Amino acid sequence: MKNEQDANIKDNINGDINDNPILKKMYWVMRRNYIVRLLLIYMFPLILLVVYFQYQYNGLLTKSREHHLMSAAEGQSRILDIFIKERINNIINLIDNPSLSYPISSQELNKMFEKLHKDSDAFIDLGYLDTTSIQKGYAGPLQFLEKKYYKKEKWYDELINTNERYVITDIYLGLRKTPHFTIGAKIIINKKTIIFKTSLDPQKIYNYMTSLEKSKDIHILIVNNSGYYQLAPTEVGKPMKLSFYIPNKSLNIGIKETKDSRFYAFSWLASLNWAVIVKEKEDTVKSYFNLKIEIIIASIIFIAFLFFVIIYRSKNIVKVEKEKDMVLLQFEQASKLATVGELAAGIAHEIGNPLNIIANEVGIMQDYSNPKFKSTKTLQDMNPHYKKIISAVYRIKDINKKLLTFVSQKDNELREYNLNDLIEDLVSGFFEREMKVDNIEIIRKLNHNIPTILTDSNQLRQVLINLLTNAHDAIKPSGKITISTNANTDNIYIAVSDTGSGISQDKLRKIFLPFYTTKPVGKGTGLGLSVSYSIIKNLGGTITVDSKPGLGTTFTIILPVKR
Amino acid sequence: MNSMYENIQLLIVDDELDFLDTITERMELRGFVVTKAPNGEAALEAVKTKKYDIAILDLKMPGLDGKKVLEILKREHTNIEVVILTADGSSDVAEETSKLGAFCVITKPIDIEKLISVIILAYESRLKKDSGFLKQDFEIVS
Repeated sequence: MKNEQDANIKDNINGDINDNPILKKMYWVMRRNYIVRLLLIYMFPLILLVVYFQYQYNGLLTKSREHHLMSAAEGQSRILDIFIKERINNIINLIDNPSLSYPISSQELNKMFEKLHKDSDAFIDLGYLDTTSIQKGYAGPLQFLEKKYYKKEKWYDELINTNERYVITDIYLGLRKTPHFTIGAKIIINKKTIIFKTSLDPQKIYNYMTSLEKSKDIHILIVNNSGYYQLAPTEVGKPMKLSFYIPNKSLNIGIKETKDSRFYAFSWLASLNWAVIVKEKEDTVKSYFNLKIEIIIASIIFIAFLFFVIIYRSKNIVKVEKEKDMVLLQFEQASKLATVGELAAGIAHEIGNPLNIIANEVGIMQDYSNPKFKSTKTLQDMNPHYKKIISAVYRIKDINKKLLTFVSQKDNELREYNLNDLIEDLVSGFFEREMKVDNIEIIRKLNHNIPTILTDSNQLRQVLINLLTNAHDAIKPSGKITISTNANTDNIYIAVSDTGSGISQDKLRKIFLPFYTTKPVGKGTGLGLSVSYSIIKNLGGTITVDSKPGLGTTFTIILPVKR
Repeated sequence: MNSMYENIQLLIVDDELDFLDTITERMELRGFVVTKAPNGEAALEAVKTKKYDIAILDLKMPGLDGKKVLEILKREHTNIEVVILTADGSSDVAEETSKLGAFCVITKPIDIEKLISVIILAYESRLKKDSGFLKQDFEIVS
């Protein structure tokens, strides 16, 4: 039975919390605030961190890509340099032969070419010409080149006019229609300048360069001084075509980023005016791009996850708050009932007495009509008795009304109230008579200039009842309770002072704790002051206590004027 | 029938004057000799001048309350029987007042027949006490 009742109360309160639009809005605002707060606390730094991380990671990635490309360009150019220097050495060593005599027999020339070819299979052929610029001898696969006139060739002029022993041409197609380049080297035999020329196939060294493990993810391009491809993979360009990019000639080595975030690194060769350009393959670019996207997606997923956690958490927090409020409401309800219980003796007295009067008045009228008592009373004489009955009935009705306004849950809302009126109603309705019977004088010191206040009258009434009941219980055998109101610009003050026994310092500290009571068993629940405290706190105010043992206690409620 | 109750000296103490007047009239109709006291002080004043058999005493009164009056009556006039009238019918009231020596507690609103029967019982008890008192005196003398 009792559990059923509890469940009912709980249901009612549940309903109150979920249906009340003000509460609903309050919880919504509470949740929104929690979300904003959690977002600010967790999300904001996290997003900053993620952005920072992205920025740093991209920088690092770019640096590493640049570094990788530049070192690749440098490495490749070095390989090519070494290759070319070796070939020059091969040819110089070959022709610096003291036993060499002019003219050179084709047998001798073939021998020399064989030697050369043994050094490197990049050598295609070997020929020689004199200052007449006509090829005098030739060893190699293209016999038709013999007797060819080379005067028109640029390299020939260059070699004749230079102090260097050799010249190296750019790559050209020439008569044989395959890309090759030529090294020309000169030697003076018997005061006669002899020029050897050898063609080299660059494809082999290029194949070697591109086949290296570290060249796997890059394209290697070789351009000449004027930016024409010397060697290039077919998907990028053809030899002799103008390069998409002409490296800066003032730098030995450099890097460039294009608008679509592709990187090119270049390195000029030491041995001739060629540059190696290294370019990331599209797959590599794509894999870097994908990596970036993956990290962004992971960050977004992480942030979204956290966001949902925050949303969920805020929901939970509000749920916990709701439950807390519900417990508080139940607690208040319980304390209200407890307060009613504490008032019960007073109420019984207030109702019992008029009932007693009615019963007696009816009784005496019965007596008058009883022949046993031989009454000579007329109907006229009944009038005072009727009046007494009526006044007793109204006394009960009055108490009933006051009692209902106190227990009523209905107008549990904020409205403008004049606290003086509220106090006046409460004191004259409930307490004055009971207090008088117990020899307690209630003194009102109400400041009639206090402003009205937006508050919950039921809750405030409950607090005042608690304070007055406590004051009543503290006074033995007789004394005074003073209720005063006052206000300044910010606050309204309600003070309830008694001339009772007072509260010692150690008890004063525990006075607002739930279930703390000094009243005899069955008299107090220990809920009144703790609930009063939470009520006043909920109304935006505070409640303080000041007590001198033996002299009395003053409770002061401070409520803000504007909420 | 009046003669039945004429010997019983009643003191009724209650601050509810409407009730006090009416109950007095009803008791007088039934032949009791009744003195009214509207408060504790008046009751204590009354017992100084006259000997009462039974006091009907309200508990909650301004000034001296019922319990105080009961205490004083029982201390200073040992043989008076006190019937407590109260609107609060809780058991601790009965316990407390009976400890203080009340004859019994009647809850308001009162039923006059019940009140009278209680008064008679109280009066009998009072008479017994009187004889006991005499006996005691006698024993002391002998």
